[in-house]
Amino acid sequence: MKLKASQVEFIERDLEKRGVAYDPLREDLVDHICCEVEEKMEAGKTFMDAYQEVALRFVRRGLVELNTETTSILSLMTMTKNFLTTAIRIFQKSWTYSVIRIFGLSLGISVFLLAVLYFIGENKYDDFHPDAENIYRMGRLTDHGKVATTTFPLVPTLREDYPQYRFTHFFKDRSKSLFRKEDKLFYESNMIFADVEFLQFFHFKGFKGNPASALRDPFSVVLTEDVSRKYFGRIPELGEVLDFKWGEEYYPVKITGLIPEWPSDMHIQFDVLIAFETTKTIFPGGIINAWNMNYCYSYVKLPSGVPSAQFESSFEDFVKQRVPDEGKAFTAYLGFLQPLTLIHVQPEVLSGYTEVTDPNYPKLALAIGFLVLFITSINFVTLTIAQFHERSKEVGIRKAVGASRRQVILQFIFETFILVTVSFLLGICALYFFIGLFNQFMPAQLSFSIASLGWMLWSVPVFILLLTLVTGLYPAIFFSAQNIMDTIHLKKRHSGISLRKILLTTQYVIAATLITFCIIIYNQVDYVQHKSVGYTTDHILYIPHGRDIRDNPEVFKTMAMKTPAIESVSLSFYKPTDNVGHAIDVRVGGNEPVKVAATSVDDDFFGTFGIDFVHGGNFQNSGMDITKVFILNEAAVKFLELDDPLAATLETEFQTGSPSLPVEQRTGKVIGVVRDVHFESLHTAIKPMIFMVKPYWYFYINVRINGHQVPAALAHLESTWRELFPDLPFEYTFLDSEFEQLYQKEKRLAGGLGAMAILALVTTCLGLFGYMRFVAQQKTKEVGIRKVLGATLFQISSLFSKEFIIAIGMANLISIPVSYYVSTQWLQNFTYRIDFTVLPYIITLVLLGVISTVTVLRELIRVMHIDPSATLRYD
Amino acid sequence: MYSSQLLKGTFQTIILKLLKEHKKMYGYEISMKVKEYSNGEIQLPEGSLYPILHKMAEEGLVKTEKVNIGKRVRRYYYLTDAGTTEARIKLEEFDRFIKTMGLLLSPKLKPV
Repeated sequence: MKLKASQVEFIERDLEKRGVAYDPLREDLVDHICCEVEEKMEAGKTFMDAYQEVALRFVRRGLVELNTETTSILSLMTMTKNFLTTAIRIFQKSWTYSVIRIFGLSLGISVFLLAVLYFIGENKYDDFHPDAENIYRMGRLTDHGKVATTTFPLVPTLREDYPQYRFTHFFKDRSKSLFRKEDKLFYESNMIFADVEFLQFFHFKGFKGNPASALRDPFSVVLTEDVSRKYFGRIPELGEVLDFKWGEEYYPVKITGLIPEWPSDMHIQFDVLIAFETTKTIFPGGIINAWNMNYCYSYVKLPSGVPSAQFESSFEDFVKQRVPDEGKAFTAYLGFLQPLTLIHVQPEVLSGYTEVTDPNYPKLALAIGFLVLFITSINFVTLTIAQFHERSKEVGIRKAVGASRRQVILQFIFETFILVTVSFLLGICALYFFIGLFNQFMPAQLSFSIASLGWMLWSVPVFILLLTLVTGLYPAIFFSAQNIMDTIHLKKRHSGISLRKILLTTQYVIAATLITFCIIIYNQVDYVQHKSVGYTTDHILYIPHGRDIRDNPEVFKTMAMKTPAIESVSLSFYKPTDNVGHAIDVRVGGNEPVKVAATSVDDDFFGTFGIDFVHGGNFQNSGMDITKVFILNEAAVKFLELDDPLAATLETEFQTGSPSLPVEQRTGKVIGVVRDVHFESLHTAIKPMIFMVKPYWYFYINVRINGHQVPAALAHLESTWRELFPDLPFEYTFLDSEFEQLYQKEKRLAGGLGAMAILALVTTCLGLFGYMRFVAQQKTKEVGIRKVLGATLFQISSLFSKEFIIAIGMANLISIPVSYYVSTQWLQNFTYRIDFTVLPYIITLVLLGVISTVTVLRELIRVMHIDPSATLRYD
Repeated sequence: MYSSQLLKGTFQTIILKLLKEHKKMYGYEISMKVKEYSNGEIQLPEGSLYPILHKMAEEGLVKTEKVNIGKRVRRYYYLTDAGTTEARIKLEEFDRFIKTMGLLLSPKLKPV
């Protein structure tokens, strides 16, 4: 007579309850008992009688002792295997929980690792150059603070005076240079003149050529392989030649070195290096010997052991002896040394061609990464505890049959360990994907290289163990500490502030803060993007080759204006969105001279952009020599304290950058005042500005075209350009795209934080789901009783929603001051910022409320439909 | 019925011998066979049978094979190569033991 499945199950459960925890032994015993019971039943006994008889014999023998005796002889390996099978069985039983926990935690781990990689990446710029720790960039002090540019004669003079140190420098200005190989012509904007020592300071992996001499002879050039391919269609041989245009002439330059790949973690990024010696031939002598033109970047390599302060302390004597006195402090020529490896994270040192980052961003990323790991860990813990109902009986039985508390804790820690390890592996895979995503959106390039893996390998075990303890210890203690009777019968548990509530509230605080901050950033970016700048930006494009037409601009302008598709053409030193960095000395009456930001524009400039005059008029209208008069903006009128600006005469003095006339003094009347407009980004206040006609400074050709005839206008511009400059490529950019770029950093921040906020929201909801499930299971019986007593659905649902509504309310209360503080700090970056409103806080509250309700709705509906007769029947 | 003290050391040998003859057996079968072969004189208690089986599995003398019988699982035990060798050694050892015991405890014990 075969036993029924339910009878076998009964025996199995009974044995488990009586302490046969070791699976293989239990299987043996179940089979054994079943066989005996079957025999006895064949002899006519009932199942219960037969079982009682057999079981009694086993119980008398001592089932727990039998279990202990059997397991005591097992080796560690068999024990671990058993742990593992138990764990797998539990995962199978509750795989949704396990999947959610693993998924959440792996997300947290990969975000955290990403932040760590980013942080480390940003802080190890340039550390791969030999003797990187002994290399410094030299800079000077100006009214604007620390500046990285230096003069031409600085390095040659230093070489004479400090033969024990090594120096290098390179020259770079704003212009692009034209290169030519037969019919292939390209502008190269990343071109510098670098001296022979440059390749001795900076190391390029796989450099082809001799680094010691590649940049020694004039008209030598070193290219990156990418750029060389543009001209040759292949990687050229050393010694091949291409042409390079400077001024009006083409010069042949010989390739003496090739750089396979310019390292991405270097503070300068260039493509073309021309030997510095070349400048002696092609530059006017005036520049090369000028102590007042700062176009060079200079570096020094000190012998190891020589502190930078030792060299710095001799700056004063050096400048006094070697620099022709112009009455400036010595620091205006040579003021400080900046360690090479810190250049990337010191944006306060002003420089044009340096890849710098605000060091706060990597720190912020690290903090957020840690926060995300923290909330996903909390989530893991909450969801583990949510299994309370399913697990507590198992634990209770284990303990009843004499498993020590330590054993129970170990079992839990072991389970957590496996989950954490799996999450970690998944996290690494996700990291691979995240790095790709990150590199698309961020300026920093991360790589998943062997080097970073090697560093990770030794820290992984530590990390996993730590995370296991953090996420496993509390649930383990929680479960193991339960009073057995309580856990088995799920007695009403004491309420009050439990750690779980605190964890849930903490998650909400983080989510709420991130969401509010995100909304505020978004609002601010939207505000600055759409705030009227005060002039037309639509259908304006610029050609960055004003220099080519500065000597005779009218020719190009007249030809371009021949079609009605083109409405206005003008020239200027700066274009809108540029940082107007050039300042000149202005003196009014007998006052001390003050610095005023200056730009050079032509007569049509204000027309092109539609900038109105408040007083007076344009250059031409004045009837005066236009190279002698000035136009101010309203801010400048206020700044210079001019009561009647049109009556004022300004005395100015400024450096021109032109070798023929390095310093110019210009005295003249103010003929017009224009409205204040946002020429620069809205980060900064509108500067006092002075506009004058200085053709030598023309850099941009600004063109306003008819919005309905864009293609015709572009075609006409291009054909005009080709006619006038057949050997210069035609380039242009629409101003709109420049404005788009203007708040890129903030948009990235909003994007990054937005992703984090969503992540925080999702994990918080997962945590809430787990928590609700836990509460619902605890209160199943309560709901049954209440229903029997006639409670309405509303009363029942409020029984549950109360918990998380309180959590959300509390969390919002806490997050308001936090996000208020953080966002006001951040808004300090802008001079023009949005007003404080309560809207973002309300949106956050509503958003969290709605999403949380949706999350718990399913569980809520389930509980509300509970049939009291089913739940109350239990004991 | 023999006293359990007398039997204790022989259980493993008995189990080894049975497994050697029957290739593969499950726990209940072993205890039944012991009862049958000894005409009910010897009962192999479950409390000894299973710890011994699991210990031998741990030592690599036996292996198990699971067969599903309806809802329950039946674990068959069979000897490994090491187990077969062990069975031979144990049986030889027991044989010598019996002979020696015979010499020691025989009523006709006389010094030769």
